Amino acid sequence: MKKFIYKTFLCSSLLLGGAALAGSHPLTKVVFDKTSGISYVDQVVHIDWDIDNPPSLVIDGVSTPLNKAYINSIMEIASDLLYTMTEGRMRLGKISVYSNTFLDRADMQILNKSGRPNAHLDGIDVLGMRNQNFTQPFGEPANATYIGKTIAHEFGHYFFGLLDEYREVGNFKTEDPGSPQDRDTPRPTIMNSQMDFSRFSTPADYSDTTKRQTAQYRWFGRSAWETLVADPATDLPHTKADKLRTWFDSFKGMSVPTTLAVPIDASKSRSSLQLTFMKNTRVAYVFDLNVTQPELDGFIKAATASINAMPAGTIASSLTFSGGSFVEIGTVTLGAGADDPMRQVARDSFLSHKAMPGTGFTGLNNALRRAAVLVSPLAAAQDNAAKIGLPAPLTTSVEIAATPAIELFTTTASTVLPETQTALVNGAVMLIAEMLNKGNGGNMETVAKATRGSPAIANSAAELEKKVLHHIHALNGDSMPNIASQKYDSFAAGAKLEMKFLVASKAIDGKVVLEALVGPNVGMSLELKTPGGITVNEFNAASLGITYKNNILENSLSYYIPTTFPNRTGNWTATLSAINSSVAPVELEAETESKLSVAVSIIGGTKEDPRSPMITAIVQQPVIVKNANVKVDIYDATGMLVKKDLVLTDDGLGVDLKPGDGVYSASLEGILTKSGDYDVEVHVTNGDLTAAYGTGGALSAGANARDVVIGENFLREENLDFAFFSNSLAAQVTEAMSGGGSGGCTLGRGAPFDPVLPLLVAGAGLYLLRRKRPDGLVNESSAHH
Amino acid sequence: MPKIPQSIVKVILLYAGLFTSFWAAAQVDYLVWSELSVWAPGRPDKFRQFYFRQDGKGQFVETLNERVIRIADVNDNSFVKPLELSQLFDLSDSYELPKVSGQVVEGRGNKVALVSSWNGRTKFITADANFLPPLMAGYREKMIEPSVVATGSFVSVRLLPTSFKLSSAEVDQLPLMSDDLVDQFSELRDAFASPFKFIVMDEARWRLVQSHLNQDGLGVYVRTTQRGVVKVQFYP
Repeated sequence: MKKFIYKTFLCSSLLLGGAALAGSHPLTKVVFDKTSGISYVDQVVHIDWDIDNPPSLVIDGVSTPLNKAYINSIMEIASDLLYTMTEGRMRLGKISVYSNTFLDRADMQILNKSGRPNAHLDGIDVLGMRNQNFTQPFGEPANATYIGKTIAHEFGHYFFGLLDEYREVGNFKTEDPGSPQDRDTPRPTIMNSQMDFSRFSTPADYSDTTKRQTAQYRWFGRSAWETLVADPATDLPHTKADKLRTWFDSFKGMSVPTTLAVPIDASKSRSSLQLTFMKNTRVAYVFDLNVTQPELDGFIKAATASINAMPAGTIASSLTFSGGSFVEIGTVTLGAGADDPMRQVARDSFLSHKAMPGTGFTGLNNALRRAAVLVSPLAAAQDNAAKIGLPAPLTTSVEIAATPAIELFTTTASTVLPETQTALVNGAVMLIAEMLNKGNGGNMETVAKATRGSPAIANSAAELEKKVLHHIHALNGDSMPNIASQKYDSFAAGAKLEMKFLVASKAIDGKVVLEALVGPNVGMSLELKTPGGITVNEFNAASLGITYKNNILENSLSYYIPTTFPNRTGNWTATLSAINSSVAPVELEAETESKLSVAVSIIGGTKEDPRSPMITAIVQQPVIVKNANVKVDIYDATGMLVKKDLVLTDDGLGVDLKPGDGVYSASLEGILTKSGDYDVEVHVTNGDLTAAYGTGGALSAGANARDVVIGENFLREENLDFAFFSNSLAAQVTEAMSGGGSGGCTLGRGAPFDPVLPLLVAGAGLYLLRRKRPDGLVNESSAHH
Repeated sequence: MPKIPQSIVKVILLYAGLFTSFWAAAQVDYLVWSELSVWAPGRPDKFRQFYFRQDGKGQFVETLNERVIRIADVNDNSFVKPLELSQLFDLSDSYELPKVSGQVVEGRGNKVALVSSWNGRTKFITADANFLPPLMAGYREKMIEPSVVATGSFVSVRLLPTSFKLSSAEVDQLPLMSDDLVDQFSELRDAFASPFKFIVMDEARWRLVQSHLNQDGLGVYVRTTQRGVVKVQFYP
């Protein structure tokens, strides 16, 4: 099967006259202004330090705080060069900076460490791809100008898919035409040296046939500008092996410039630059009343758990819908602690909801659009403009300082109109869809993915509550990957439920949280046994430096194990003891504050994408992790095991695109035989100590930095729900998917449908079906040791 | 008199060339250890080279942005023994990390390039500096960098590894460095006789070479009759 890299673009007309693009985060967009011909690029930035308490670096002999002014300067320089190198046709717009959160959902990462800048080619509209930069590129602290210019050079790769035009001394590998080589003839362009030049190459740069040795020319057979203005369908065949290059509206119908006339002009290049340091979340809880009262009670419990777990400062609204109407309940700003009166207001409002089964769900459209207006100032501005017939405003017309999100409690039968999805996407609203399983008739899973949110499907209210708690990480952009988990559907009085889990050194695993989600079961107690054999319980935990919490509101028991705990590394055992027999399932899980995470995607196997299904798992930290052991267990909707220990490989064979790139793949063809919901549970281990960090390598440029062998075992576990459509097995790759037409979409990739299929779950990811043990009771860890 | 087959004529000419040309002197076994430190566009390009010969002669060179800043010739038998050279032929050609499809990583990490000529065979190894096999790491520990400031300009003939493959059309486009041209310049003769070694050469004479080749630039890829494509690098 030919493997495609999925482009997760969205194409939705704005009154502005252009179209919007979505990347890894709902705030990532490219908006084309048809009137001016300018494209405005909104980017999400992750920095790995506390911007309110910034560290300092000695840069050019001066101690320099990495504060907001530093980030602002970087973005100004980057915007200047983007403007100049595109002859004024593209500008940076809304730049949303997350400090220590949304690592895997950012277009740009600026990491406070040494490293080699890198970027995914043409990755702007692909979920999980990014432009990675360092405060100490190549080992030396760099000033804002250097980093800003380097980011602009990376835009050449990340936005436009262009290749380098510099020479790499000592690289004699002619078999890799997309890499700079020793024999190269550098051109005076930004893709050669961003410190010296600010323009893309033109045909004149390659008029001398003896000066055509660059990665760019070898790969595309033409200059950068000729590439930008050309229909990607006309690119050389080898450049289209995986995907079509993005073709920006601003370059369509444009002649190749022979004279580059736009100098750096800060007044213009920075005119649309809007830098926002993101704080908090604005979330609207939307309840479907078209369910039974017990189901609604489950929604309310789940939403209550969410309200309890959201951080102080969260702005929370509440709406309900039934039949064709909706009701807006109110909005509060959450304070600190479970006793915060505003949290109580929210909880009380939830409890006032009454089920109205049989009324239908058409009111969902208006409820979601109203919720979008409540959480997103951009959605509000767009809504206001539409009401009075004005064009949609630019995304920079309003500032969004809190992540806009909707947490919807409904069923899998719910369906919304395409316009509703468009309103959410254009308004930069992330939809978290918490759904009770009522079959495959609805489209909320697709809508949630389109907004870069997360769908979850549960078979019971209790299960839904557990999933909701894990979506707190997604809402807040936390990186809390799972180490291991185990679910027990039922147990007898006196049972002892054990789970073993491996804690890696603090270089990999930060604070570890071991949690028992006990639901309505009573008489449960939780103990730990350390690698050194010490028993930790609620009574002695504090004296050992471990925090114990019995969270009644969330029905959970938790231990927080700090990195400072002596002899922490090794195998731990959690034991959940039950005095009484079960009234509901319980679950044990270990998660950790860590950047080493797994992103799981399912490609194909749907009505929209009938290709044979395959699974991929990207292991990253955020640099990729190679040579890990990755296996997956697959369960059907009833919890029955369909396939155990399916090995995902990174060997470049079969469905795996390239060896050693940290993307592990396997085909699901022949494994999935019936339509329905499935759950994959991916386990990543390093038992043979072969895994290594790499800065990645290049199809197109540079040599790799050294692999850093990790040298110790670690565990990661990630789950993903997905709906499989069995008729896809008989279908082949459609002409539409491999074709070159971009239709009316800003970023045509050839596929006329919205291929928002890879679902990045990463560390914050989904909490999905945990498998029941064959015997339902004791002593089996889900972790692989 | 029977007609001599054309293939045999070519072999005869080849060997005749070997014995009559500048290559004849290149049969001394040698080892060249080159270090290319981390580099990025806009950053300095640093290079160090240790050159050891079986006859005890050697050379250390350090360049910055293709200018020699340190150079020292040695005759102290610091050569690595031929027995050890043979061991190098058991190593792989590359100890580098694979690249990731669709991702661009800027610049170059610390690299080591090793060239060994032993018993008429040549071995090229490229490695990430911190990913060296034990045998190469052991070699590095024996090397000492003399502190000698350089003056003057130099030329060096760089043989190319097997990873350097050009199409016949590309080769045809390269300028030909004929034996006659080499014979006109004693510096080139010496450089071809001791590949990789830095040979003193006046800049004006290098310009003459460039003029013969109709080329500019400090590094020139040229066709030769005996060694295929080589790189001739001038260090001003």
